[in-house]
Amino acid sequence: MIHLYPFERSFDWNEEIGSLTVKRTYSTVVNLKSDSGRRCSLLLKTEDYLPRSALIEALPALEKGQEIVVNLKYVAEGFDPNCLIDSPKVKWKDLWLEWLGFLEQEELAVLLDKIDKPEKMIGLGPGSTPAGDDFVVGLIMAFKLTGNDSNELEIDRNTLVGKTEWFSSEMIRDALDGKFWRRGIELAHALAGDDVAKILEKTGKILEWGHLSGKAWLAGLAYGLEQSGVY
Amino acid sequence: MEVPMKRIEVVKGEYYDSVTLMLVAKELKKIEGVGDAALNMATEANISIMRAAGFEVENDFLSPDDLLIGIDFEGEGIEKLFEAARSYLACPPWRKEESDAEYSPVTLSGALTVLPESNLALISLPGKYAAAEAMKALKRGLNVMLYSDNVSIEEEIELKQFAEKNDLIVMGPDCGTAVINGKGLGFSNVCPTGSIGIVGASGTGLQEVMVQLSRRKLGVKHAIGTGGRDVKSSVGGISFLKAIKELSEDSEISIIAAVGKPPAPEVRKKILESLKESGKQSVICFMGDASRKDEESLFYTTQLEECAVVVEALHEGVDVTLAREKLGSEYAKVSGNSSTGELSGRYLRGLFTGGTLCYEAQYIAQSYINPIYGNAPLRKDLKLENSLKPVGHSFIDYGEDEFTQGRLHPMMDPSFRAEQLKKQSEDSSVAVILLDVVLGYGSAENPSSDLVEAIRSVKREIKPVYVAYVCGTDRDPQDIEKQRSLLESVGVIVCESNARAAILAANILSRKER
Repeated sequence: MIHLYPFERSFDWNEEIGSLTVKRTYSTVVNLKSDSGRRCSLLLKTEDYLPRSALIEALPALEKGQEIVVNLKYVAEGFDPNCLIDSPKVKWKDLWLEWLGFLEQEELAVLLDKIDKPEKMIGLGPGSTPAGDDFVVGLIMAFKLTGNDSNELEIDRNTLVGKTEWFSSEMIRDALDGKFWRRGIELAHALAGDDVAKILEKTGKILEWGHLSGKAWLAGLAYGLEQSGVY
Repeated sequence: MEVPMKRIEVVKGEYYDSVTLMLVAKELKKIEGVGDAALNMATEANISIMRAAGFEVENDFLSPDDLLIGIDFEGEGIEKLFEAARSYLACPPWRKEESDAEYSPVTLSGALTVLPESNLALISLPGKYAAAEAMKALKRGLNVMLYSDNVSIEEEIELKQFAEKNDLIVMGPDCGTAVINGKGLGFSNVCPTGSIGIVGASGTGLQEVMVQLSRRKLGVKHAIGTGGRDVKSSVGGISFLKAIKELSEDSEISIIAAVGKPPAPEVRKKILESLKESGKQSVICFMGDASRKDEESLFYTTQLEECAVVVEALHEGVDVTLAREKLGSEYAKVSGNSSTGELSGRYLRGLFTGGTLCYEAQYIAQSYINPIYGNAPLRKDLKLENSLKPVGHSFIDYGEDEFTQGRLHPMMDPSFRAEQLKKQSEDSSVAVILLDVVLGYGSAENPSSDLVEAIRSVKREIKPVYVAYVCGTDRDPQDIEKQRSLLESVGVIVCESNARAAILAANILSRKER
């Protein structure tokens, strides 16, 4: 059994999670699955922080299905995935409105048909995480930021796994719990502030996320803000 | 032996910007066995160009919104190359380099959210969309630099009249160059900032005057382009007059230069009146306009370098007549240095990327050789039937609309002019070739290299004499000395101004004729 020793972790990953199985490996991220089916991740870069994740100096060669132990004793807390921030300022509205334009791209146009029924978007569209899921996560964040109840979206967290890919289902479940990835939270902070350079930088960081994921996420956020009744 | 295969594929109803098309063509040309690759929107002009390059194009069902992919390949499996082209278009490999990039707003509203204090929008879109965006910008209270060409005259008039009513200015359409508060926009050279203000109905005309001023250690605060049609009767010089007003009211500007092709008579009258009322010394350079006597505060010139020389004289408090005489004697020396080695052929071909440089060169050369044909000739009756098949003495501006619909301007992508340079060089009737190389922001990274390669590859016993002018400053990103050296390495005679290059090129031939 391999024991790994991260040096920093998100607030919500504690030792109670138990043993972990390697689910998928990337050059800077390893996704792990707990006995209860929850996702945890080991990361090399702070900007990739997401719920239940921890930073590590280096990633050893790991194989899918391999069981590992992540030792979190005395590991510092470094990232809070809970989305407790102010609403975006209305002065940035014209900027987020143009993110809706991403849905006009041929590859994302499929989402337009279901835009009024977010639960139908789950698992829909292209990408390793279906673009519909990214849209839904952005949408949920908008609900949280504007004080709306995400239960109105009628997304059943218990049936997510059957509807979409596992990693995506975890991402949506976390979002419903008010937990988001670092890039999204940083953009939300920027939109609640006055520093335009920060907004452009953080939006750029989100667009770097996958071929379509970032675009779908931003479109979801923009759509949610517009539907919120706040602006 | 592999048989070369030239094939065309049509992608219906898909628009791509010309930079993407150029980069995809470049990627394809890197593949072994690919002799040529061309991606163009299916405009009539582009279809002619591709046909001239040997591609068989049936245009019965084509529209300018269709994309043509032409590949010349020696070997089997040309289909895979078309697949590669489509794949590059869908997901350009160079996009990877854009990671860590900040988000750039893609709408006017988004941009104004980011920069609410801005007062100028630079619009560079395909012509058919540009006017609508320009009007949106004007309605938001922004001045407009309309870089796009292929905007109709009716749209131009509507935009300019709206701007005039709202105390705004529309620079363009087809405004490739401007300097506002010392900052270059579009194609611009790195020049010092100073007390000169320029208004110009031309792009490379503005660049040449700024470059010549820079070489004389003089800087420009504003250089306002208006687009070439502004000074025609139909538009009435709306933007030109607004620009003069703005320059007049700027206390930091001491001298105004007005540059361009000759305006319509009634527009010229208004411009001269406006300059007189400005209270500032003004130097007018309407190339080819009948020479006039200087008036109290107005000084008339007919060439771009002369314009800079007169501005310098006024700025330094030197006698303008003496400055002109000095320039004249320098030009005489250029004429006197026109002896070359063996000359084969009879004609001069001017192959230009800058429209005003092409115009000025024709204007100067016509004093020595005649007639001069072209795609933008001095007289309508000298217009070439086919710009790809020059006859006699011909000057071609490869930046004209016919060559830039759905493809990059030759100042950005020198490859097409380089191909034509090779072709003209191999024409046994051609004795001298005159070229411009325009440096600065917006221009190709290494514009001379394509020309040098073309000249090296010419198969002709006695090559033509090549004369060139490099329009640039020593602070331009392309390294002007490197550009000159490259040209000189293949025997090109490099001159110090566009006027001098034209004088030399025309003199070489006229001497031969004498």
